[in-house]
Amino acid sequence: MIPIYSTPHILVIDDLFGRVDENGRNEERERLCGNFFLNDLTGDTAAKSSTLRVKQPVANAIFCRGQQPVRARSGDTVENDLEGTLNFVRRYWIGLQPGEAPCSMVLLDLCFYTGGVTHESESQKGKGMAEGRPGDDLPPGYFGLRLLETLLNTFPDLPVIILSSMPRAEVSREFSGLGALGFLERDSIESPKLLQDYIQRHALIADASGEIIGCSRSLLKALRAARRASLTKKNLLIRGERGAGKELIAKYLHRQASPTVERPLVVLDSGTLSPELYASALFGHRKGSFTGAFEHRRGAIMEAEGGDIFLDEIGNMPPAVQNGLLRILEFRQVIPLGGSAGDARTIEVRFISATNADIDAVNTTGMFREDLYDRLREGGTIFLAPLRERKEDIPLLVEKFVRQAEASRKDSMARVIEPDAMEMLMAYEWPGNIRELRNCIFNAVTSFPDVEHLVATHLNLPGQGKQSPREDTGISTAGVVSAAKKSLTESLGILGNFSFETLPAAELVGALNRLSEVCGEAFARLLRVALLATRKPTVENPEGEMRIQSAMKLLTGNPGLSASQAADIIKRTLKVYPRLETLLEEDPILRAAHEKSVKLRPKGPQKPVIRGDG
Amino acid sequence: MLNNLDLTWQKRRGAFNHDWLKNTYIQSLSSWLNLLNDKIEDPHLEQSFVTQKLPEWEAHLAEARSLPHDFVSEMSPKILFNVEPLSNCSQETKSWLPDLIHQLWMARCSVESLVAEAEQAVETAQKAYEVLCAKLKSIPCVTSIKFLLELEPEFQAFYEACVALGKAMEKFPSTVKVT
Repeated sequence: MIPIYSTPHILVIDDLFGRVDENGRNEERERLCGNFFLNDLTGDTAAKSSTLRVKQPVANAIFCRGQQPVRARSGDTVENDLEGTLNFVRRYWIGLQPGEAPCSMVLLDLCFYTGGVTHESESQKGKGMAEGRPGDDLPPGYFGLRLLETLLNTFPDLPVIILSSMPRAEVSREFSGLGALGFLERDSIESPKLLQDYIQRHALIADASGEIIGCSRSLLKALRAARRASLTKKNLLIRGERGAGKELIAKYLHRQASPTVERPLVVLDSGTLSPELYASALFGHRKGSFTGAFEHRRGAIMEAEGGDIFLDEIGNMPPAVQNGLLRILEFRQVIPLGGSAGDARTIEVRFISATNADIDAVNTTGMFREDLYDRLREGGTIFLAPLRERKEDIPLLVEKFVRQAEASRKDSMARVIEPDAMEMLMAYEWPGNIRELRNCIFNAVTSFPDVEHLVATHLNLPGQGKQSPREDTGISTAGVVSAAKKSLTESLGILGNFSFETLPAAELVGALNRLSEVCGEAFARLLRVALLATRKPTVENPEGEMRIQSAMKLLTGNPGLSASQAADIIKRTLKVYPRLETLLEEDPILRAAHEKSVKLRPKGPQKPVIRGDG
Repeated sequence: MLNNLDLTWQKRRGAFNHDWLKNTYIQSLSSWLNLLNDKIEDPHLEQSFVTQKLPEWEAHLAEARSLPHDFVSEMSPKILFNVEPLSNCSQETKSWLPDLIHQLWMARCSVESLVAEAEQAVETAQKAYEVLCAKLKSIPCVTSIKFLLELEPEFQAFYEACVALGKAMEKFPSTVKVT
């Protein structure tokens, strides 16, 4: 198992460096490691017999010959081993133990010599090396290119760099087209430094500082995107759900951009500010520019001069602030509120913005200026996956939060995390993401400070046998994702953007009926929720009187909706439900709503009325 | 390229440049410099480099010198007239066409310049090696890092010359073709 070192793990697939000679050694591998500052973790006899010690390794390397036999002797025949090499990569890319990081990168040779091992081939190329068959050492026959294609077809996200002493120009088109990310010349003076640059730009590596915990591929890809973005000064957008760690990614990006030089990072969480205060906090103000402006204020942008500013929740930015910010981004000049042209200050600031909103949807409604949106993501967008999509990170996060929680209390005992607790934490969907997990762990430790074990009963999670009994609705909710776990916009976005193109034909059989059924059930559930939400309690009916007009106003967003229009919608909506009669028989709420609607509008509707524009 | 062509030169270049110079010798030189600069520790390399690895240059020098020289005669497209189908050309054609193609190839591929660059690279490396060897003779012990450290600039110069030689050798075309 690979422990999580701060140094990355790279796989090196190369016939020369991956082989083991008959004495169990590989001197060429030792020289390569000494040249590129690699720590050999292969674990074979060659690695064990090596006398090399690299003082500051840039990576840990695990070598693979890509051929059989690995330990070839004179008289043997060496053949390329595509399947074995795939299995080797699979082991370090997918077949991971809990808490084990995937390999960071692959270095892949081009030319693999096959055929017989002879005294001549050994004296020329090295012990155990084959003499080579025609074409082995020419681009059309490079096994490395075939391997590259197969690897990236099988593991599309795998970062692969070519490591070769063959001329780059002859294969540049091929390896780029197949998806390799770069080329390292084995013999170039610059290559050891270039390897470090490639690791920075392309490798999947965990955060060595320990600020961001996790080694899931989705997280590592977000960290890589941040490192790549740090190489430019362009503005950047981070998207992710609440509590997913967007601010930590912004700080990581900032640290990467200036690891040695002190540059400011100013964080502005604008979620709760009024438009005026938001503008003031961002742009600054002149004394007396508005009521309560008793002093001059520089504003967050000026404070961030020479560095980065992090704007959280930009989806909430008031239109007036959007206009002001757009001007700043265009002219790179800030004028504080109440200031004149003479107060303008030129700025050199990178804007890192974040949102948990579906900003594309907000854009289409005109709530967020598209031109501003474009400016704020000119350097790209980093997507941060929710915790439920990277559950392999939960054990590491739990470990960290338990220790933090213990350290935060003087009297707290150190505890072991029991499997039943971990099982429960892994099973939960974490709608509030890492923040919710942290709160859950801190609560558990704070509530039970004097125990040595964290067990399942210490965890206070929703749905842990403490819910009130659900009314029998007649509509199956098995497998239904609650609104708290996934926002409606998000769920509809998934459905709306679902690509049917890649589905095999077999899956299309009856798909229309199933889709219609799912839509009908979803409509019915939505109606029911709205009917319950708009009930009005009265003395006679403390549970609340059902009001179909209010329920439909809520769902359509149309305050001018009439009662008969509401009735039409209910009738038409329920009509989609595949087993309407059974539903109405089993669900008293929907039955009542349907009856009311039919009474109000015994005939069909005249025209469609579902609109959201009031 | 034709299958029945004798591509000995190409194989010789691969054996020298790819298999030996780039894959083993330059890697060793670079590692050795890292050892001198205290970036790695390697008792085996420390004991064996100067006495065993470094002198490999002498064994390969002749090949390094002959490769650029032989390139013109062995990789010129005029050798295509030695094998079918061009070997079927009439004697009259053969009396002038191969030479014409050869001259065109020489000009279009800047062959003289490639050869000169490679020859120059070989001699530069040899000169650097000679300087290094002369310095090695002047120190009391060739397995002591303490003394070898003083020769770091000479090792570096030889290493850079070898890298340049590798690049110069790489520039020769790898196929015989009419351009």
